[in-house]
Amino acid sequence: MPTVTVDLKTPWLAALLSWAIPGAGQIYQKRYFKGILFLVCILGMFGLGINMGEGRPVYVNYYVAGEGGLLKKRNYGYLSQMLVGAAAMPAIIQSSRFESEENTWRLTQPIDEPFEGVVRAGRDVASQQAVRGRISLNAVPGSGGQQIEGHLVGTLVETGEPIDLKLSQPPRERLDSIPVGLRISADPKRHVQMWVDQVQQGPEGLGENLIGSVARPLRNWYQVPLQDNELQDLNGRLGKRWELAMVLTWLAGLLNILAIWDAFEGPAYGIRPATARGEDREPPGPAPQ
Amino acid sequence: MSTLFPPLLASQIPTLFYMFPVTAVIALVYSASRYEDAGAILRKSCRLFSQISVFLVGILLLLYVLTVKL
Repeated sequence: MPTVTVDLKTPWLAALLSWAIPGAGQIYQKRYFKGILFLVCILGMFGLGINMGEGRPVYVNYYVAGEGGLLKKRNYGYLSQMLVGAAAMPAIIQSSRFESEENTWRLTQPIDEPFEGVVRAGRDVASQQAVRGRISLNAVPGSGGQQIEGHLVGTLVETGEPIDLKLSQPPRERLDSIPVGLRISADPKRHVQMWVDQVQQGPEGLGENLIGSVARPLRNWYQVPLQDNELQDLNGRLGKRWELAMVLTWLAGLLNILAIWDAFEGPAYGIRPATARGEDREPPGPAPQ
Repeated sequence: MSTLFPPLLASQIPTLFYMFPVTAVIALVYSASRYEDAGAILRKSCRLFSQISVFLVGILLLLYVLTVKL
């Protein structure tokens, strides 16, 4: 195998760059072929895993229901995922955002978003009709704390009939869950349950229970810690693909160890490393007399 | 697809196909960490890819033969 000289420049900096962005250390060392190869292969595999797991296989913690509320558990797979560097770092920020006070069940900002869901009489599934439109929700001070009120303007999906519904917060005893889901949660859809106060436009006999979801912005769900029900939903729907998605992101992190080590030490074979100043090292041999 | 393969195996095929790109990526990254020359990296990774693929397909066939009567 012919030897080639590689100028590793500042090895620790190259290793750090390769950790942050796979292949970046090699590109800094002007080893473009390997840099692009590591970048495409490792980030490609990481991206494929994220895509297969619907954007959710990377998370620091997850929460399961236990005695006295939610129990926080560590996702040890993240130790491998974090080796991919910057691409896995949002999970750390999202973990702290998830636990911060900004993440609340209360409606801190008005919502004005496209909505998809159903309207039905109480819990009677037979009476439900699919609705689609734009929902606007506002928090107003009420006697028992914050109250939510709003409007839905849209259409009935089956008939295409336009509807305009005045909404209020459901009575506590009729709530299936909270009226509006957490601001920051791993689900791209934010749950909404509201009560139809008045049908301003639409057919008679429309139910009073409006259940559906609005889109959650990417920054409020991507790499956010998962909750028990979300994990079960992903496992149930994706099955082995969820497991494979996790494995792909772990593998990408483990493969990046090779890229980091290559940036720090050079390749294992076929190399005569150069010094930091770009001069060849002395070939091994007997010490001078 | 299900006419050619038993239903259980047919349902596994889409997931199984991921083994080829995954194997290719592993072979490329591993070889790139061993060699510096682009030609050597590609040659060695092709060889490694073939070896791993033959091994995995062999295991798959063995498991299939062992479970075909179950």
